[in-house]
Amino acid sequence: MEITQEQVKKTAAMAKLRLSDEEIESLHRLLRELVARSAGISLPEEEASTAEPGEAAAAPAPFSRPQPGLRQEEVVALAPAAERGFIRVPRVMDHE
Amino acid sequence: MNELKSLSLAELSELLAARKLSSVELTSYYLERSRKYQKDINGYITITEDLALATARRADELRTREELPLLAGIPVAVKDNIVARGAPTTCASRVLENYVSPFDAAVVEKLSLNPLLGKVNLDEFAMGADNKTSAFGPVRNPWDLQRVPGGSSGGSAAVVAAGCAPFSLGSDTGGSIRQPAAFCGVTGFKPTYGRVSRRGLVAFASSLDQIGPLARSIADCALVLQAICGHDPADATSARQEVPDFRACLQADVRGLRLGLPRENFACCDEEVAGAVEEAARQLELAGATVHWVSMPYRDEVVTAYLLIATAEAASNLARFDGVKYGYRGQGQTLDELYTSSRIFGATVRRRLMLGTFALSGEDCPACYEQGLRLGRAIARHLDSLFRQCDVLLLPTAPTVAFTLDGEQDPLASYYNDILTIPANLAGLPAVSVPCGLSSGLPVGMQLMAPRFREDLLLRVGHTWQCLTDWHQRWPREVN
Repeated sequence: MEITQEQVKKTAAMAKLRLSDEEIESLHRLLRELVARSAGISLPEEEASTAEPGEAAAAPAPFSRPQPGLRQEEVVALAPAAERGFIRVPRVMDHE
Repeated sequence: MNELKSLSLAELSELLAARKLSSVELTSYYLERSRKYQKDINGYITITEDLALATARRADELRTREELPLLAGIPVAVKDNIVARGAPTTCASRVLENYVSPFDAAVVEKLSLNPLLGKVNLDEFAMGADNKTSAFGPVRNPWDLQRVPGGSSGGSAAVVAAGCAPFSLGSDTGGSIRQPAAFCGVTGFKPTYGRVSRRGLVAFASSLDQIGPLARSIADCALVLQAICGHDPADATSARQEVPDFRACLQADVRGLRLGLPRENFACCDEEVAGAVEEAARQLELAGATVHWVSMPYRDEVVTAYLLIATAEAASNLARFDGVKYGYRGQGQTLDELYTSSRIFGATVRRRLMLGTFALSGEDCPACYEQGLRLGRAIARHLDSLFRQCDVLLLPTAPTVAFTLDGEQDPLASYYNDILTIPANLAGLPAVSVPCGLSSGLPVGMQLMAPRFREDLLLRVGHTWQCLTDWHQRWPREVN
């Protein structure tokens, strides 16, 4: 499978990353190498069990028990700016 | 007071219980050493002196009224991707530079009477094996300041090796506890996946990540494991598995145990590294174990599985970090541009996020997440088959000793440095690295790996080894 530079740029957009031209070029090479390497591996026969690593070990509980959340003032304290108990955010629209 | 750093956790616990030493005195001793060596080693991102002394005073005060848990009052250093209430958690990234956690990780809750010396340095978002990718500068190896401490828990290993903390917590996704433990000459223990709650660990690759201790000996690790293991209903991957008495496991020796040495894992190592680990196997054979060669033929499969799984899960996990609130806030006309300009990860993280996003992108290609899972399952099945031939696998932790800070490696080639540690993560197995020699004056690590939830076997073999030898008691020249 051929990987194009356009695919690399599309991937960067999906990952919300700003990359330099050199990075795109180097990632293009890296992805081509990774695809070639993955294609070159022949898998041993899969057995009936398809348990994920750790899955058998974990035996997860059906539901997580609800935990108490943060109090309002703790949440507001995390914000860059607050006003009267609310998170203050920069204006994103002009109002008429 | 200088001899305090050489005491075991059990010995420190006895001194505290007998009130021959207070937690405030012990904590002050380690804070002083931490400050003293910070300039040379750069092990910490934040030293949390006030938090540490407040907890120490609370432990001392409580001790006047009641009997406390064994580890209470003994200070700890915590990797800066594990949150602690009131302390910064940066993940060594500018993207989280100003984040202060409003809650404790499960492991920090369990160690609530252990003074937090500080948050220790790591590779950015735990992605790396040399600690050079930290946005707060590289950690230096106390055995040679021109060399790396390993990674990603390089700070966790270096502060223990330098006697700046009696024990620390790290996280291990592909070897991130064991490889720095080997490079710094300390003991690093990765428990079975699910044995320790991951609540409050900033996720890198959720199906591989596991928190564990780094300390000066197996006996010390046993005490820490006792304190941090156990089911947590708030972590859906936490195991409903009884926690054994890990201290009692130290009583048994290796007589009757079958140790398997994967021959291919020795062939890919430096001669002196392989030689030191083979010599350790011979000593354990003399102590009553049966030793034989087994085969671990997978190489490209191991690295490819790790690359696909770890990067895909990282791309998903790190999508939540926009950099806007706790890091550098960029500029943009649209929300998309604002996020793109604010996600200022380092080059290694950017590269991994790109590989992971590609693996998840649904492109019809062999380099996808599902292929990684299939490979991981094949490797786990092979390891299961090896454990029908032996009880414990014994192999080097890393192919080389610590390398120099100035070296650069091809990105794909660098993953082969982790080839000996990754299989335990892919299969969710417990594994430990213990010091077993020196090569050119630098520590060599021996790795022991056991079936899921058989930490007891690792404690038996590791403790027997440390009763026979004193490699774990050596100190680096730089910090004596």
